[in-house]
Amino acid sequence: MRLVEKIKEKEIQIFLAKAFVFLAILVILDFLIGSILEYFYFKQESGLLYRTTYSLDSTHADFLVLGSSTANHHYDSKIFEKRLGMSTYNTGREANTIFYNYSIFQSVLKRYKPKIALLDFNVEEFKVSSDNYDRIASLLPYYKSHPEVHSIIQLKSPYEKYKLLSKIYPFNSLLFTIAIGTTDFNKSREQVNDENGYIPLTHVWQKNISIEANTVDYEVDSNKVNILKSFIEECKNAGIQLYIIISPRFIKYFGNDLSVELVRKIANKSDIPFYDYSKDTLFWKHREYFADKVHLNNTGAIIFSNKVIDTILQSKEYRRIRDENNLSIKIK
Amino acid sequence: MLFNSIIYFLFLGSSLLLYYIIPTKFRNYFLLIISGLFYMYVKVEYIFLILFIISINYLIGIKIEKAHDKKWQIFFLYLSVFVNVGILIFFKYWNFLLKNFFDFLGLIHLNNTDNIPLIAEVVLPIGLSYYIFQTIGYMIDIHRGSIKAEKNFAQFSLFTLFFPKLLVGPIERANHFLPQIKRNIHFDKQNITEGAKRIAWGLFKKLVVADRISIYHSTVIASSESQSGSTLLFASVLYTFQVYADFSGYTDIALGTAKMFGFDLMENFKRPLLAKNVSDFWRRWHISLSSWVNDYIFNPIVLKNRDWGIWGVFYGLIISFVVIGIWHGAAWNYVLFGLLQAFAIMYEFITRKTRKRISKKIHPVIYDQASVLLTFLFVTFSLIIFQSGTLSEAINIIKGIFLNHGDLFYDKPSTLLFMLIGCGIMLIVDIQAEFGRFKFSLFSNKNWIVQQVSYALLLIYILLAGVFDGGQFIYFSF
Amino acid sequence: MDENTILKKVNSIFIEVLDDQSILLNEYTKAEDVEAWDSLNHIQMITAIEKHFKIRFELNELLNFTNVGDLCRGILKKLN
Repeated sequence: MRLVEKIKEKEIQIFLAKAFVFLAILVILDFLIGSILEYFYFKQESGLLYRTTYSLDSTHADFLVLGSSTANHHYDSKIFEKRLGMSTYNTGREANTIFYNYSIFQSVLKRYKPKIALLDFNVEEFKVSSDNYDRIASLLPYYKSHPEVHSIIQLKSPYEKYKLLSKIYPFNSLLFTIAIGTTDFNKSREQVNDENGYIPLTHVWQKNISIEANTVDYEVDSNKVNILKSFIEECKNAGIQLYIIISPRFIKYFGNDLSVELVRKIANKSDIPFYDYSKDTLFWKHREYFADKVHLNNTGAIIFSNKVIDTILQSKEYRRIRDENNLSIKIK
Repeated sequence: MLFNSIIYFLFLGSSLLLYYIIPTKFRNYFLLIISGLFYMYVKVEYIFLILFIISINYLIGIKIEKAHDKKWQIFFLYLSVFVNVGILIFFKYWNFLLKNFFDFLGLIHLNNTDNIPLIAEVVLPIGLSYYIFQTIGYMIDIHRGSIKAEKNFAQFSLFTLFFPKLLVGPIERANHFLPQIKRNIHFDKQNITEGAKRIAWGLFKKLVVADRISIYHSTVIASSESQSGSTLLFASVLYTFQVYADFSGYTDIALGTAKMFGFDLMENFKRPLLAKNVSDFWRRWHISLSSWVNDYIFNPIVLKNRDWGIWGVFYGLIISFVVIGIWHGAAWNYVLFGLLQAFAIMYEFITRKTRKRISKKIHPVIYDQASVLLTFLFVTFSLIIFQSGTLSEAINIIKGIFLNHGDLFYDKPSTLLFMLIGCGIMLIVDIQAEFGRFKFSLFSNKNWIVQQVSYALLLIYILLAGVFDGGQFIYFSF
Repeated sequence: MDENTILKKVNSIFIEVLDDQSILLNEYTKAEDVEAWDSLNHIQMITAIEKHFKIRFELNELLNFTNVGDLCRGILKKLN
């Protein structure tokens, strides 16, 4: 039977009509449920999702810490505020890399200009990893309202634009986090941390220091390198003083890491102060400062924060800022 | 091309459209072409291998049938088995066999060089195990006289190449699938809707249940020395659900796809987690493989050695389940896995009368539920060995379950909720299919609006709870 | 001997081996239709049948039996 004749058949017409009804039901449900999720997502008053929203939309801190879990757990904002006399917020978020940091920075730039930005950089940060791209998902809920992060989100996959047609998609896997976040149990959580962004770890690492060889050669992700370069450039243009810091680790490395060497070169070329604490022997001697091989616990973070502040205070860049601004305490 | 990828659905949609537009008599050729393209998308070179296998077996199949002499019949049968098994061994087991052979030589001090001629990077073509077994079955069927050799080369090629079953089976039978290839396929809206529903369930099982549990399970296993016994047990139990959801979900997508093109492939799973004993389990799990082994290995061995009585059965069981074990891969833990199944069934044979006696003394519901639970625990235990890379790893996990103290590990309540709700839904659907307990049904409701809303909600839940990329993670360091 | 007599005899052999008086076979009965008919019983029944009728089946014949009717016809063939 020819196709045209087939379509005229009533059965096919009913079939197509029912298929259309199904699609309509799907779109309506997606819109309704997605809208509910969006509403409650942005109503969060504490917790991880709240802190991300706060970093993008609300913070006006003069001193901004950016990075992944190492940033999040290593830099105690309160100490920075006290000693530097600048309002401080820690935007670090676990498992999120330069893609996330750069996006936060873009949104911040649209609202105000911090005086100092501290980027916590990791060993192997530039290594090609598809997981890093997948985690750009943290930014999906902000796609609609933050056009400045579109370029990063598009890096996630070529289909992202189409997936975002679904209102539910940005909130994939967040259903229970959002739901729990609206209950009273959640509202009673420590809000101090959310005001600072800094999350202390309490565990104490029990194992001995590990000895590892740096993977000499791995593929470097040019996207990440270029984003870092843009980041540096934009800081300069906006008059923001950038510091790049590598946190201590409870690992003795043989050889040098490709990413660390590369970022050192870039920083030196652009005259950005760069401090590498990954081989700092002070920390190697104190297991009790660490929660695990790559993260400091609260004790360690306090010591490290103070150490970093000492370094910053002695840097020529800081003296210039201090003189230019006649700093006074501005804590929210 | 992964079944849960966007490109697969683009491929599926466009293929279906073209398939029903082109004239009926060209449809098989169309299927042949897109199946070939599908396989080449995975890796271009694969098409040459599969065409070689198809051609050789096509010719030998006809030769077996035409041979007048019984001697020649057997010769050609052995030739085809030799070629097929040879190819399988080359790609799958060569390195394993060589390494173990040289280890053995080393043990008796005959090995004095370190140069093992390993074939570096022999990558196993995806699907090879499935279609080699299918082809061997075809050959044996011709030899037994239960089917006729397929003279139509295009149809015989489609029998092997048909893309829905190409990568993960089911292992089809000639008498089940070849007749379907010979029909004229007409558009039937039932096929489209039934197929689409099946695919939806497959996606649910794979994305919402299997891939979600996988994140938790792999994190726990990677740090198993630091995990508590309760965590290890919990992860192992979840792993059983994971493997079931993963494999049966993928199979659902395969069967649903085939259905949309008008084909009925063999059922591969029949609510295996509700099995009452290990023999029953293997009649419900990976049915196309276990029935293949039953028809082409177990029965012949047992009947040939029927004078041995129960020892013939035991011998058949061991051979059969070792084959099933190593079918999964070239490693000793798969052999052990197979042996475990064989011993369990041997135990069931021996204790048959005793267990029947016990069952009569206990309330049937309690006895049945206890049976299901015990069988489930045995399967979970077997899977610990199945998924461990080495025997010592498996032993450590089992030791850990009994000896390690501590609380249940989870990074946040949301993780537990996603996993448990996913398993719960899957279990409820299976229980309903098995026992038909609930009179009201959402997904088979007579009212088409109720059905549509239910399936829409299913897709919505997949959007909400499915794992779509590698971005999900659980942080565990201590 | 005719097929019916053979069927009756096979039935009694089944009853004895499976220890179940209620078994009533017809030519279409398959293994799945009879509870307790498993691989072990199967070979016990085949050997009992071979012993009773003083015949010996070929492997191929055994593998091609799909129901009780096939079995009886197989026995008949062997006897003639």
